[in-house]
Amino acid sequence: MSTGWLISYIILWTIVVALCIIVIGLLERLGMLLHRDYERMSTQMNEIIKLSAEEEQKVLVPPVSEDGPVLGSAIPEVLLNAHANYGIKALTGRSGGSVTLVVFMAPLCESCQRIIDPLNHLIDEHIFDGQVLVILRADEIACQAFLSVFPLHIPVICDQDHTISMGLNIHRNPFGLLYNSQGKLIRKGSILDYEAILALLGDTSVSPAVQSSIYSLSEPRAARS
Amino acid sequence: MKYLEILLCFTLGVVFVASSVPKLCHPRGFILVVLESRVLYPPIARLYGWMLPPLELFIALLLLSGTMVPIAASIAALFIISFIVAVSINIARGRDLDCHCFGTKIRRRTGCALILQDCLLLGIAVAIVLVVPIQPMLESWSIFRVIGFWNKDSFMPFLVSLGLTGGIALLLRSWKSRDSWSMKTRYLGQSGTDVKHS
Repeated sequence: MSTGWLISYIILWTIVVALCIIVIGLLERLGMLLHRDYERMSTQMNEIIKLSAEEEQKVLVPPVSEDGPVLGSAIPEVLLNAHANYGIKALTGRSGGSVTLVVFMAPLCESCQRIIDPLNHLIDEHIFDGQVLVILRADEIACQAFLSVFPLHIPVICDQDHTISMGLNIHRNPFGLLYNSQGKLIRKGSILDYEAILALLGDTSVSPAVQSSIYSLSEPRAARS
Repeated sequence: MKYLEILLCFTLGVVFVASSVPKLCHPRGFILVVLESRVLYPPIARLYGWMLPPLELFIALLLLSGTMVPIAASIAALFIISFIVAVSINIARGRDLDCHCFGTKIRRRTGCALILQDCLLLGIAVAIVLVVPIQPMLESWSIFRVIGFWNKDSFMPFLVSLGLTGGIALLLRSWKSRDSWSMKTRYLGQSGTDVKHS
């Protein structure tokens, strides 16, 4: 057996051994978990209901224009109170407030992960003077995992049971709401990339195609079409 | 038997390439997926999420090039077992997650169908280990032997696969990092001032 053979064997078998250890650890955890969760799982299995075609139709996501609160509506109390609960500066609608961009996202949505760097860029480079707030639709553990992999330079609120997003009728990610300094919703829309974020913020230098996907208070959808 | 061996190696190799490329394009996303599966402790999950995509590609290249096939298939089998265990744990917990088996773009729910699919892949990997003899280093059907580059005991194909893995991983990462937003900032805005919102 040549030296090359020997080295490659050592490398590959080291990987095999390491993976074996991981697999054994996983199997151990699976055993403990199955033992513990057996009763709960069996009840859940009995409760599984198959949706009929009609019911499936009902849960379809509505079009973008119908997502989010009505334009002109006031910033919800839950966001106004965010500064008290999460150590965030006073939001718009209060004295001394500024324009506020609220971004809704979910940890495992790839489009959301792709706008993290653009959002940080907006703040770091002072491209946007107002405040940005991220509402992450996940529990505490998922939020922590997300922020450890995708560090955000802006305040984040964990929407544990989706009460904030569901309360505001938001079904898609990532979705942005732009409130003016009086706390009124002036723009809303899906923000899938940096260009869309700029369009939502009111930049005129972006392409008309992107502008047309944003529903603005000053330019209602009907008037534009 | 030789054709069966080629078929099995190519099937497993292609699945592993298809699985590794999207993960290599978006490595942070995959680390988050591993963390979010909540099976391993975070530091180990991070390491696993970081190591898995290039290793998957490396194993795929070894299988496709017919280099050290039994060992590559053993490692593939261990990977597949780890996927099966992770999916089973989350099903047992009653969590409704996407599997992200082929990156984060293709959405597929974890469930019994996924476990069956993984079991099938595990069967293929085990069959390769049982069918293919551990010697020589390069199979008779290996592309490297067919075109006459190296003989059956050459170490070079292993190094070539390793180099290719590193190269492809770096290429995919740098290609993806040139995504739309960085291009936009380049042409819109040195335009911090253009887009300033007051």
